[in-house]
Amino acid sequence: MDRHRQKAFFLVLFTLILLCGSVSAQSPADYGRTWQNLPVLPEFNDHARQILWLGIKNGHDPHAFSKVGDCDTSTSWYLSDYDRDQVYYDLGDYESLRPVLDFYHGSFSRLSLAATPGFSAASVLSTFWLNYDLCHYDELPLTCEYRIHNPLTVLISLGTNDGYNPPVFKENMRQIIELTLADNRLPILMLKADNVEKNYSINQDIADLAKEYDLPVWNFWASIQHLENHGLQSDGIHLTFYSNYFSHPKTWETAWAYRNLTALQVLEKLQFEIESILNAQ
Amino acid sequence: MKRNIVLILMVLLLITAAAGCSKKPDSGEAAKPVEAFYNAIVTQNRDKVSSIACADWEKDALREVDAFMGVKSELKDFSCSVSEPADNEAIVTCKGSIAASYGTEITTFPLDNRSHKVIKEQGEWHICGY
Repeated sequence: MDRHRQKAFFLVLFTLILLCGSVSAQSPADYGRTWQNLPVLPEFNDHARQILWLGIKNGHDPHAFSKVGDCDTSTSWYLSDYDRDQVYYDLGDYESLRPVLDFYHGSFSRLSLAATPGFSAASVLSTFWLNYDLCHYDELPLTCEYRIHNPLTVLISLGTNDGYNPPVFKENMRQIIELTLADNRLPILMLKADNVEKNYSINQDIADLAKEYDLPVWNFWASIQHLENHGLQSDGIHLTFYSNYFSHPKTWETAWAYRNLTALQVLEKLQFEIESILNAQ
Repeated sequence: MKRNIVLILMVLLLITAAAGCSKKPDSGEAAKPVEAFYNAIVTQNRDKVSSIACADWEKDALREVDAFMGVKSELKDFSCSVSEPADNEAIVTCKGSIAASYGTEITTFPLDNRSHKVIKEQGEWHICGY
């Protein structure tokens, strides 16, 4: 090998080493570039359909969904109006969502036993937070909610209160997912609006878990990025709210309109899949 | 006859003394890890858990501490004592409650309905579930 070839060889080798080094040193923040680009509404693939099919076969209620989460989930602002009289909401340009309200009637306003202000992912798995008037001593808030409401699908919106202790979130969330799947119920994972943890590691964890378990992700975060302060109140945690009158332009300046609209749209897609399975039986 | 009565009394005295000397867990010591566990919950002190929970229950204990991370909590009228002592394990019961607040909403968790199992690991008492 002459000198020039030797030089070129070492240059290529050096470049390769540098490239390998940069890949292995990729930080979670680098991976984080991907979750922001996930579509707001998930596609339901064969794996999701399989879970739905198994759930229906196991006697779960196809018209029931459960909410799992914290204060932004237990609040009556989250979907509850759609079980109420129409004076509390209108669908405006989204009147086509009306069949969704009929299909899931009763689940919108249900007070979930697995949704409480202050809940972290660990709280859903803690016997302390069990409602002992309704639940068995050997249950968890999550499993008690599943036994009592018997939902086929579950909207999971957690992570804000884990923002103060992010390293433990992923394993607790994993446990929630595994308990849900073991029960043949389909978890839909929501990407949260806030960034309490400062580096979006929790949304990254959720996206990573969704990929690992091949589950649908509802990218609520992406749906409100165009809003002032990204749809967050001055505390950087709670969502801005106006009303659930979709015909009112001011409604669309606040995050709750998008939270409820995109939730209904997720449920609409889900309804389509569930009805396909039911019709095929 | 009198001699027999004295003998019986002495035997009874010896049995009573022996029972008194048999090794019983120190009630205060066995209850301490349970008290420390609840203090770890309200002070959100995860680091404390490894020294107060038994190895088999450490993961669960951490989860219980994490379950209160999103709220502010405090102990009310709280105390624990050993209710079923034994050599290397015991049952501890507590009085009082955890008051957890989120905004203006306060949730109270009574502690008197739980029997806490404590065991001795490497000479130290550890909480090992309830």
